[in-house]
Amino acid sequence: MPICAYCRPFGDPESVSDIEIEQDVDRPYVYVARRNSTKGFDVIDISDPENAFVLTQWRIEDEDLHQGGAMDGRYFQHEDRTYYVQSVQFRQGGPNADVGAIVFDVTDIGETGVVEEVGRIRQPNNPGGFHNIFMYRHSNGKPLLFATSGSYAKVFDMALFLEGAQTEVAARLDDADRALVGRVPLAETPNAWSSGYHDFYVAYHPESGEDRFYGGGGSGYYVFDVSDLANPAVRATILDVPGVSWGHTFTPSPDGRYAVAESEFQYQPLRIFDLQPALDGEVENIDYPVGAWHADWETVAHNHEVRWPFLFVSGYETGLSVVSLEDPTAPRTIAYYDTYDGPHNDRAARREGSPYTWGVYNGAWGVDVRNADGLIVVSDMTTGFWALKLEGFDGWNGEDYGVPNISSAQPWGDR
Amino acid sequence: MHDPHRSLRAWSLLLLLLCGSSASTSLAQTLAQGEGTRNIRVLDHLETPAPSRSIHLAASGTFYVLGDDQSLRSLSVEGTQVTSTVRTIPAQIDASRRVVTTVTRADGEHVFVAAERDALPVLWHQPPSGRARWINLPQSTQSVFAYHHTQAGALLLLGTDDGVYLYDVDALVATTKPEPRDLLEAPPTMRGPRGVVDVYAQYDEARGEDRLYTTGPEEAVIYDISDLSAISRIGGIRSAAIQTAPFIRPTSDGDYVLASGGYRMAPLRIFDMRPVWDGSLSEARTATGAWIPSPYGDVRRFTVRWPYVLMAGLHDGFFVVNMRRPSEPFVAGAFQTYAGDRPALADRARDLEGAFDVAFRNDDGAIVVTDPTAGIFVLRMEDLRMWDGRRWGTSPMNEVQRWDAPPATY
Repeated sequence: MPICAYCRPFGDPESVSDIEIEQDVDRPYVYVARRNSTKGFDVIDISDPENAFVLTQWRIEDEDLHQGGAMDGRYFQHEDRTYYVQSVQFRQGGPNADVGAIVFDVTDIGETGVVEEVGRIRQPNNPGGFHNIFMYRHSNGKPLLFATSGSYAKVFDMALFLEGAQTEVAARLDDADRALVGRVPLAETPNAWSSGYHDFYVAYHPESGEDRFYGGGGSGYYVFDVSDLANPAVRATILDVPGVSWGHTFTPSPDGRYAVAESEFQYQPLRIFDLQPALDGEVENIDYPVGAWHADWETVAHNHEVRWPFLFVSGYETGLSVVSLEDPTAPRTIAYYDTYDGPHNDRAARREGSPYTWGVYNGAWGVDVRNADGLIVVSDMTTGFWALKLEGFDGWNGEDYGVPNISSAQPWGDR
Repeated sequence: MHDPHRSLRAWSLLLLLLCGSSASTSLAQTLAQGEGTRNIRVLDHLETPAPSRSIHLAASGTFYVLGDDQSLRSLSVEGTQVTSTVRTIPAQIDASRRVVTTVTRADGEHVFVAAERDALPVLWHQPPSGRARWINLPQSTQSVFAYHHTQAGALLLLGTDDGVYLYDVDALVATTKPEPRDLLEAPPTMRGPRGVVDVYAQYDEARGEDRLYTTGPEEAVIYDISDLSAISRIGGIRSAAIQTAPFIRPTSDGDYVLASGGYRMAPLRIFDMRPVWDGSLSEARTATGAWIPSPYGDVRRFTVRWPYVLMAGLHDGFFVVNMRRPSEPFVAGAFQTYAGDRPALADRARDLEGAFDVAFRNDDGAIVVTDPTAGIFVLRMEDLRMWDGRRWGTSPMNEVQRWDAPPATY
């Protein structure tokens, strides 16, 4: 299936990180996070995708004093305003090392081209920022920010944050946690590779009526019921999987039955797990996938978006791949576009003694999909912003495919 | 273009018509089956009543093959003539493990097989003449390797849950109830239900050391065992995405170590150990190169005749890969032993179908490959009719031991 693509190159190589597209076609904005040589985010106007342009840019103050940059970004809507949350990671020794996320009011960006900073979420007890975040409209109606921090996925009530109010949890803590309403720990993991989470996804599970958290980290993947944020409960673990030392990105199917899991080491495929045996209580832990997929066995995928049965993969050096999961045991590539034309498996980028396979971490970092019309956006660390269209994919609604209409796109406007 | 394989098939079909023997039928079927063939000639194919798995090549040139039916088959390959004898060992043997080895002493070839008898770990010992005997072992054994130590002579190394037991073969043979001379305890991460799953020793010419290579949960550890009274850890490999490497072997010169991943879609990885040997690093964390027969393939067992690595690639068959440039390996020979379909990933019971184990004889290039679904293949690669490391500009060290002289004198 052919893809047409438009590329908006940015600045220095490896200065682009994650990407987020607003779902409302009347708000045609894409947020691209920037790091290393420039630290902040760019807002792309895609009202005409083939002529996308940078509407505005935001950069951290005293940029040169900061090391690190912006990582993951998510938008949300609350009381008729639209906000963009940018996660940041700045190294200690410089300013803002305790900042995890910066919140912006972007409601009027189309008219004014201005993003207004609303506030910063700081975690002085866990410096190093938030590597990944996820905005979720909880079944209680609240806009919740899930963020990687220390040994937890921390949960912030963004309505409280915006109001400057404090949670009852925060009454015992300092101002940094004034909007903290919950913390999701790692489930018990002997000899965990990492003590916390790397990435996660949160979605409503219609069959059980639960809000479910899907986290990658530790030594694998974890599913929690987060309906009661004060008491997150383990629903399933995926540990001791051959080849999975550490969980990275983890996304379920809309019905919560299957999950796509990535482990960010060279040669690792994306794995498809059937969660049902654990969810049904037949097994305590799932330790083997039912399917797997490679774009190229010598590389590794990075992030992905699920629009079941389609899987959109930002595959680092292999660019964008679109995979059919119609048969989860036999995923197949149905389209691809190579956004990265640099050297693969760059031996110069390797770091001796590091367990991470740095030589392959370049190319397509993030991907997002606009459900209304099927527009695909990709952030490539080196080649920049891409807008793509898959022929025959003109939008997504889960119900058209016999699954719940659940994806990373949140129903902010629904009551 | 002349196709040597077509000529061979024609002769085989003629042979089939003339003789109509089951052996010829097997050969014809083999050739028909070996459509995925490159540069490999079939000398013989033996169908076995039970799946054949682990192979050991003795210094005498005899290939020993373990079968799931507690069989120990010895193969004699003389030119293109292959003969085999079979005996059954009355014990429980995990034929999927490398638990058979041999030592050649003045009186001849001694065969050892680690097994269990009445749920107790034992070592079956068949001397050159006389009856076999049973030796009690302290622990169940996952891997056995006989090594000619530069100073201590013949050692038997057993990989177990506790670590590596070292036995003097002299004492093993002569003593009624031999005790190990030492236990090299596994590091805490390796101890437990899986323990040391592979054990191998090789003399490192450049560094003048007897080295022991072990692998188990979480890591591979390499020891200097030159002085058996002062064994020291000299390095290791701890790679993400390898929980337990089932098989590990160094290159002839010890500069690189190859390790399999132990699961489907895991390539065979090669690690550059030179920064570890020179003290820059304490352990290797990422591979410098890798190879897999197909994106959804698997390699568990292999043998190194540098720059060649002969691999048993399970569902993809047997391969000879040139890894002189570790980051750019290429296939020099291939033979498909497996006629079945590639099973679904979740069908773990079928993970180990296809080309299972491989052994290579240096003198004449005879290759034996076992395939539990198809039997035993005796092969030869057209341009690998012998191997001597010196002719490749490297050390002659490999897993086949010479018992007439210590390795430092080669």
